[in-house]
Amino acid sequence: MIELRNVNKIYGKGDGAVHALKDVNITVHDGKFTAILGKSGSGKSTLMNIIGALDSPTSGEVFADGKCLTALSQNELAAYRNKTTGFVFQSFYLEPTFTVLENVAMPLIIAGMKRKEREERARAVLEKLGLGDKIKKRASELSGGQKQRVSIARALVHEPSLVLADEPTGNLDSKNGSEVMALLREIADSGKSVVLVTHNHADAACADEVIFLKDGVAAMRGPLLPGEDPYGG
Amino acid sequence: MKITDTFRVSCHNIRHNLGRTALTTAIVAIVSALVMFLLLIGVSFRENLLTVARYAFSVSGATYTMSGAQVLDFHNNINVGPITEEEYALYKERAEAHREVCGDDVAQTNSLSLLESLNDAFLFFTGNFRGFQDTTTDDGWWVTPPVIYAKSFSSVPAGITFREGRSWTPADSGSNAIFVSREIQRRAENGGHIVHAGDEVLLLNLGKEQQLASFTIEGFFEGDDTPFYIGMDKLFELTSASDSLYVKTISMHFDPPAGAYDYDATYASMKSFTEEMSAALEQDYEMADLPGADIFIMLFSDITRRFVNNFVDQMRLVDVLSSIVIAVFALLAFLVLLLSVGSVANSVIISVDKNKKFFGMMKAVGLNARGLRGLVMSELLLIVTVGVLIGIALLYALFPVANSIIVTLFDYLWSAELLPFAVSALIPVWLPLSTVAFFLLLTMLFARGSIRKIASQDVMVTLSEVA
Repeated sequence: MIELRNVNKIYGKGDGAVHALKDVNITVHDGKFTAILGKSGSGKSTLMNIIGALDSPTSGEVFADGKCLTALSQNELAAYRNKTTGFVFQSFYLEPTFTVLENVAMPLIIAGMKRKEREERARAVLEKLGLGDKIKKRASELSGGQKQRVSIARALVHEPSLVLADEPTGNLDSKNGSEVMALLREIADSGKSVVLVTHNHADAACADEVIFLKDGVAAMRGPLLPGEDPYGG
Repeated sequence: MKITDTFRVSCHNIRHNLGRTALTTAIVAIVSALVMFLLLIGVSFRENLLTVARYAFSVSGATYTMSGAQVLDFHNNINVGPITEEEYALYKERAEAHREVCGDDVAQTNSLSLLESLNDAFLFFTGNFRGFQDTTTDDGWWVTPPVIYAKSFSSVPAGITFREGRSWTPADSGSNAIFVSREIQRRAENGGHIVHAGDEVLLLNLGKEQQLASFTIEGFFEGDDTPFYIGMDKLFELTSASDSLYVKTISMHFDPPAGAYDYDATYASMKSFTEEMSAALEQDYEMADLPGADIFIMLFSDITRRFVNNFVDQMRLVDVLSSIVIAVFALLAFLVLLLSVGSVANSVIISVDKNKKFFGMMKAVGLNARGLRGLVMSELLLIVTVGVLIGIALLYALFPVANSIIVTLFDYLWSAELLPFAVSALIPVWLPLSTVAFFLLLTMLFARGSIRKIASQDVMVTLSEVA
């Protein structure tokens, strides 16, 4: 369970400072699919980064299963991310010169796992996501949808308890986007916690809980009702 | 992250940036070859110079032969004989411990050779000048007090006047003529012994070769207590307040080895050996009250100083000069390295920048700052090591040129015919290793800002810069 208590994030100083998050108090429950929904500039990516320990709040505290993340050093946070979290980015962030297998195995390389073992695990994850025949291909040779599935495979290979996806369908067509959302739903159903950042309320509708962000202020609520437009449209 | 994986990832990055990497490696190769060439010339010059100097000094004479360590032993109420078996054994034992100093001539006790090497300065002993008896035995020499010291001069400084007897003339140099200092005469008188010009004195030579030489005191001279500096640079006197005097001499002969050796350490060993010997042999006796006690130190320090002055100092001078030469070449090499390391560092900076997205992603999935620095360092290490290896190959290709420079230089300074050995260039083992180390160190210093920035930068800032 991830808890944020009175979290603020301010970028810059003085008159030019941007208060991206304002006294955020939220909880990401274990095994739930949580969507962070908001318009562009609402602070949702910032919130995701803080939940995923990619960034630190300006003030406030972040707890992961009772452990205070804000008290950890950069190296400790890196170790925490390697063990506990998996990330899926809008821009995929795959290394184009590496093969699919090498990209997926990257968290395990960092963890110091033996080569044979990590390749086996990466292969298994890829097979599960229907990419078994793409193992030896370079990431640059894949389509957008395939790249995002490889990105998801990388986020899952080290068996994290939390998967964070930042606008994963942003660069995909609707078909691929739907497939990716279905995959994330499947991951959440398997017992992992999934946090989705999106501005698309249709994608947010897949989630069990929604954190609605507006101008840095967060409000937690249950799932979106079918056809509901949270922006009031 | 495992080291093997770090290098594997770095190799991957190098392969996919082959053009830039090849150019950087070529720069490293050429620069390292040039740096090593300069250092090779400097080192070869120094080593060959030291060898030639050692040879030249040895050929110039026995200036580094420590030809006499005189052990003086004052002992009361025993008849004088040659060096005892026990003392000889003690000497041998000490000499064994200083084998490198004493060489094979462990216990020469030929004081005649000692005396010759002391440039005509010698000791003699006499008792009753008028009624001196021949007290030689088959076992050696007898000594009866008092001891009067005198010497034959090789030159007489100005201002010395003679009273009683005749004055010194250059014809006396090397002769058996004896001139005694007035001070010694006064001391002898104080001890109850009257010494006059015309008195006959006997040279007592203890040791295995028994020699007796008779001398006549030709005259006396006025001077201070330690008048002249000739040969060993010290004129010394012996007086004895005891009833008997026991003198023995042990000489050491040291031939330094032909190859390189630590002459400072050798000198230190010789010095400690003579001090050990004198301490061992004097320990049974009370030296404090005997005026000749200072002789030990004077003699040893005098002879060892002679060694130092003649050989060790010269070698030190050559050492310093050759070190200056090598320092100049090292400085040139360093400047070449410094001028070119910027381009290698630039390659690192470009690599870091081009791989920013990759590093950002790696950090997102758990790579810490140390791991990131390891990735950059391993890439740099691979480039520099391969570059220096190619540089070594280039150096070997240039070796005949370096050899030719050294041979020509030494032929110009000393004709090659005069040297019984060939001079040549040489490549020390540390040369390529130190070149790699310096290259890495300097490049990391140049590129550290860029590496530190990427290592400490927030993950999302890194990724957003390339998004």
